[in-house]
Amino acid sequence: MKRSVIIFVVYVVLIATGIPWYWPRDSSLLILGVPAWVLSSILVAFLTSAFTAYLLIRYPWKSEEDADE
Amino acid sequence: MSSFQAFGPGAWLFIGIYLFSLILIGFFAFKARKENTLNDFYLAGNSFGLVVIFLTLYATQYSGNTLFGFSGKTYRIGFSWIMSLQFMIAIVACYIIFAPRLYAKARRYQFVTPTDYLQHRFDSRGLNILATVIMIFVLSSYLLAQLMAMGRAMQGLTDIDPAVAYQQGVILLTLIMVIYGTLGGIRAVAWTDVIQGVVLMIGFLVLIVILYQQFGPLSLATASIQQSLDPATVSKTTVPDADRLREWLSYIIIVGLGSTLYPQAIQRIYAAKSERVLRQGLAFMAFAPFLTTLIAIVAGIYAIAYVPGLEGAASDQVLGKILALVQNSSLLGYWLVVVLYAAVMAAMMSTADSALLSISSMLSKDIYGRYLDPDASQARLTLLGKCFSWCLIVFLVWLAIYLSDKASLLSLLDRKFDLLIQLVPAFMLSIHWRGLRALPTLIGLFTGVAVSLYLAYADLAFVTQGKVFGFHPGLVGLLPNIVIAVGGSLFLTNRRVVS
Repeated sequence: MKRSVIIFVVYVVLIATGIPWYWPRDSSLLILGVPAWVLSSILVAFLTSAFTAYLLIRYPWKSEEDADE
Repeated sequence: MSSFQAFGPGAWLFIGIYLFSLILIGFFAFKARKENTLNDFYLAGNSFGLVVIFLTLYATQYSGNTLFGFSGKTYRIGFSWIMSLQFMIAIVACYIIFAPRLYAKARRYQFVTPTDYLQHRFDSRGLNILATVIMIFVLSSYLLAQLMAMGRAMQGLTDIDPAVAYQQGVILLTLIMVIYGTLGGIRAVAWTDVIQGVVLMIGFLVLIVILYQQFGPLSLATASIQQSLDPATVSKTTVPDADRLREWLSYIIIVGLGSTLYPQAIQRIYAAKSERVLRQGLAFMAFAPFLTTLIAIVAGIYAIAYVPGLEGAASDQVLGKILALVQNSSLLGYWLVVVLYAAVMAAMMSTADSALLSISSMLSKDIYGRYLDPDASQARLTLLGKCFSWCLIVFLVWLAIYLSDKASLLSLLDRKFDLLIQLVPAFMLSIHWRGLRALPTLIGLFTGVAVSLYLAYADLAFVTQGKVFGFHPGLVGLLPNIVIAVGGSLFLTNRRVVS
């Protein structure tokens, strides 16, 4: 599979897990002083940041020549 | 509820020194210019290193709206606004779609404005003009929002009438901004962004300390909200309903894609010293929302618990109410608030100056230089850009004063992205797919804008609070836009192959 497709799929998974659609509406569980669904969204957001930073630092960018191909 | 205490002479001296230092930087930037060209004035000769590129991206991206608008929105809808953390990260992720190739092309072909890329890629007068008009309109409304936020920030800081303080705030801060902006161009804007970015970061850290010191741990605030007798208040801690979840997804897509297409953001891509610097700067930006957006959300949560009862546009001022409580608590609290207000001014000015500079570059190079006087020298275009800045800012200051209490910060933000996202095919798709043709892209862009504005402003039964089943009108408009651009391009290509 092409690397860009894998990256796209990872982002789709991160978005899908970052939005709390899978939490029961009556959930009142608190963790560290905030609702658990909020904490899960923050954690996924942090993973998204880490993945994005990884791509920016490690993933090779197109060279000037590539850009014109 | 305690009211905001006007700043004393010491605080004004501190803020005065800070504001004067910005003009001084503008003067040094003017002295540091290497040549009187558009590239030097608007891109600083592509010389931005890592610290400058990170802090200029940071100070430009996080505006007065992040502090006041985001805490106000959290106050209105509760914990759900954690979605803002995700859409601010989405902006950086969306840069990956097109920044690498755009940067490479910009360096090779010496682009100055976003329209330079469109000219290079499509060579279409119609597309150039429509895209430029959209970007100028969007940036002007963004700039207007910042000017209005400057005025609001000044209300209550002095003993004078709030309406007069608003006017004086708008005029004074704008004047300082336009002076250093037209003196030193992007070099002044970026150097002041470095100071403003640092002040802004300190301000956010100060804010979280202030909140903890004043109200105790966040768990107490959450518990207080959950124990409220008002069901609407309690609902601010519960899992969002389906409409809100769709809105959440919509925000991630529209802000993620739309923000990367801000002209000043594109010009910062152009201005980076090297690809490596740009990549590292953006990597830092991926974590910036945790230092800014998240803190603004926490402020909003504290406000729900401890400053109840604000509604409508007044809720955008909720941070000011919290700061009033902190300010009156101790001398340390007073000075922490002074530092925070300096950060607020920094946030607004650093966002506004970049927008102003970007508009002036497009008016001067893309409209005047490209169509009205193609033979104009670089020095003349640079001078004209400065004149355009002054003319535009005079008009916008008047508008900001005229509209003083007529628009919520966030409603302005929503419409901007509806328009900006229509540029996705012209920039993001075109840079990856050579088959994209100018005419279908132009028609698609026009259709997308028309559909978005119709959905946003027409009184339609299925549009609630400006959204279509929770989705921004701009996202709905983007669908026909892409279909026309891609379908039309394929059709034209096939017809040429057949003929």
